Amino acid sequence: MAQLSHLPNELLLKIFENFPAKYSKRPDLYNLCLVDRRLNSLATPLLYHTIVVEFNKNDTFHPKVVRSLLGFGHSSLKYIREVSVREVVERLEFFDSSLSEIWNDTRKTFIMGFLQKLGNDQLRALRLDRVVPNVLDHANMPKQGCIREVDCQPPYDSEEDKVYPWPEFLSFPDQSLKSLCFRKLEAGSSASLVRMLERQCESLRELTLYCSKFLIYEEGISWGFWPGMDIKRACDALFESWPEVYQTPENVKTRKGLENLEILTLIEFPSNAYLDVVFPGAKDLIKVQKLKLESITGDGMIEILHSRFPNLCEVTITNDVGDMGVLEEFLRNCSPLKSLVVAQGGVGRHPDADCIARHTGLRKLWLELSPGYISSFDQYLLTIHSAQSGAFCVPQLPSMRHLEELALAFNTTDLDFIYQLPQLRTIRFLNFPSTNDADILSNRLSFGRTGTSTISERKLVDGRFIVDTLLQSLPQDSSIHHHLSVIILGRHDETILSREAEIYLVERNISSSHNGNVSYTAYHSNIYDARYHHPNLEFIEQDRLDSAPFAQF
Amino acid sequence: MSTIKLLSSDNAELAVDKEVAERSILIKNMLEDVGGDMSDQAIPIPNVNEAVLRKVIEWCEHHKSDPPPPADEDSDSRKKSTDIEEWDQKFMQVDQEMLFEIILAANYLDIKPLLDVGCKTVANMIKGKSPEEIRKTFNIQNDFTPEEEDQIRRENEWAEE
Repeated sequence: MAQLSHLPNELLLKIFENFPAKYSKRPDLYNLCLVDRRLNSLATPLLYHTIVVEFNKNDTFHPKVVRSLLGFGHSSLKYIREVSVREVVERLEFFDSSLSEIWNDTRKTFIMGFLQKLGNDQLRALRLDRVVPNVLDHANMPKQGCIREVDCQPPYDSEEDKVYPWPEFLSFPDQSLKSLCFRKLEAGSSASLVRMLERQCESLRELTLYCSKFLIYEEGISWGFWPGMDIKRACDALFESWPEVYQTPENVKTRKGLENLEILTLIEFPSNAYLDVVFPGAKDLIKVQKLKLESITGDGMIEILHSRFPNLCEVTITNDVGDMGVLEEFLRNCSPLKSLVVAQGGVGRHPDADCIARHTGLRKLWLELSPGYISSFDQYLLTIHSAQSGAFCVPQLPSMRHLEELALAFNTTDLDFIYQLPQLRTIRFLNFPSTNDADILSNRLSFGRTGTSTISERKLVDGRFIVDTLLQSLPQDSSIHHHLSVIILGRHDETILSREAEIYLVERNISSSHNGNVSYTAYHSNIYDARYHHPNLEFIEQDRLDSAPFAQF
Repeated sequence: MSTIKLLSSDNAELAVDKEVAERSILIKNMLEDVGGDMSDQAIPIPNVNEAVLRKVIEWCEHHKSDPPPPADEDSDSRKKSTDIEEWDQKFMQVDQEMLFEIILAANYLDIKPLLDVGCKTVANMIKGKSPEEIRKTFNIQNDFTPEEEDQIRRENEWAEE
């Protein structure tokens, strides 16, 4: 008779892979390790594969994970492949300089003590989120030469000029780097680092550059780049002053493009000419499939959108589109897109619907355009509400038969197109679909930070779709532009639907308060993941949504 | 539409639409190898008995027009939940023996989406259970000494809920 124990190891591992290890708690893997020796031997490497250390701002003691991992004679540390260290913050906030002491003292002791227990070349990924990078004592760290993913994100610092040194123990001897997220780090502190990164051109698949103040020091010369400066002149000057990297003939010949790059994210980035500074000769971005641009000023946007990305299929532009004509031209000329997100674009007018409609293969379309520049959250709500920014392209929607996810500002009366989109799973209304707009709007604007929310439902049933509409407001800092969300899920029965809807909203709340970064897409899709995010989720599972379900978050 | 025959391990012959049977990559490749014409000869499936094979065919029948899974799902699949669509949930409401037989058959026949559903179903049975409850559910003997168990508990304490 077939039993669990009759399954081969590969199938047991496949089952265990359903238990996420993204958060510091992972009770199911923990329990599996205690069942018997065989399950222990399979579950332990999964349990230890990714270690997540979370420091809470006000913790006076180390998290349990810290004390346990530093314990004497710990034999399972050899299974660790990925380490994430992060500070948990309630919302986007600047670094509290009084924390420097804690970082440089107790937290440094832990991080160093822990990382020193790892073997050479053991790590595949290192992610530091809101961690002050100079807590790492590079000289005493085991060399990590097999690393594939680096994400270094220092805290948002009130000292905007502050940049941090590159973590030197991360070396990439053999073109192993696949993913690099580079924020406010001092890339140019030596030509050898630039050369080292240049060697990774071939292997690199994913690159994030966030560098509002990106400084390069070389032989007494310092260069800063920031939005709006004359980037071309600055680059030219830099290339001249740094001939051994940028000017020598043999270097020009051997320069490689980022020829295998698939995902490129540029945040507060002056222009892509600047890529050349970090990766000399980086301009051949022929394989880029996903492009994300965030807070890029007009000229930089124009320059980036004028580049050639022949294999692009996902585009996300947030915060500023600049000149709508440039975006239109880009949409007309680029390869067929599967996903287009334009959020918080202060653009003055809507794009020509035809240039969106030509992308008939779109699976995700998110248009959040406002008619003018937005200076505050309240104004944002008002403009997005009045903009009806999606309505202009509603007549074109039925031709996009592959749409699975749609986010637009438009009237519910236009909803007939739903029946013509067989793949549609999710809709987000970016404005209110219901009747008494003024009431709702005033209601919404009074939410402030108190954590209440209003939900109104509207259902359309045609036997195949159940449309459930939920509105929810996020109590957040007014400097963060949140939008409204309503979702409609298809192909579920009603009970599942409303359950998922709750989860969605809860998770959305959690994810935006958890990470400190406001993200429009990083939602989790199920209750199981969410439970790791927030233990209080049990509460939501048991109680139905009512007047103020999220007050406790 | 052409029909093919499958021969279970207990010698039962089952007629199946070719399109349905081709949800199994094993059978699909086999048919391609022989040039597609197997109309008079039954394909032996030596590892799967009739009851299980019928169940697997029932699943393939229901999912015959599903789009092929996206090739780049690797990165996303780990983020995915243990959510199972409703029809599959009902389909998987079988005794444990059948459940594991289906998983083994899906693995052997190379039907990845069915294998995923099976694995998720088992994961859901494990989810939230204590070690002792897991042992009871799946009839597993505890082969740890109390000292070993204690040490594992201490080392892994950080991951406990």
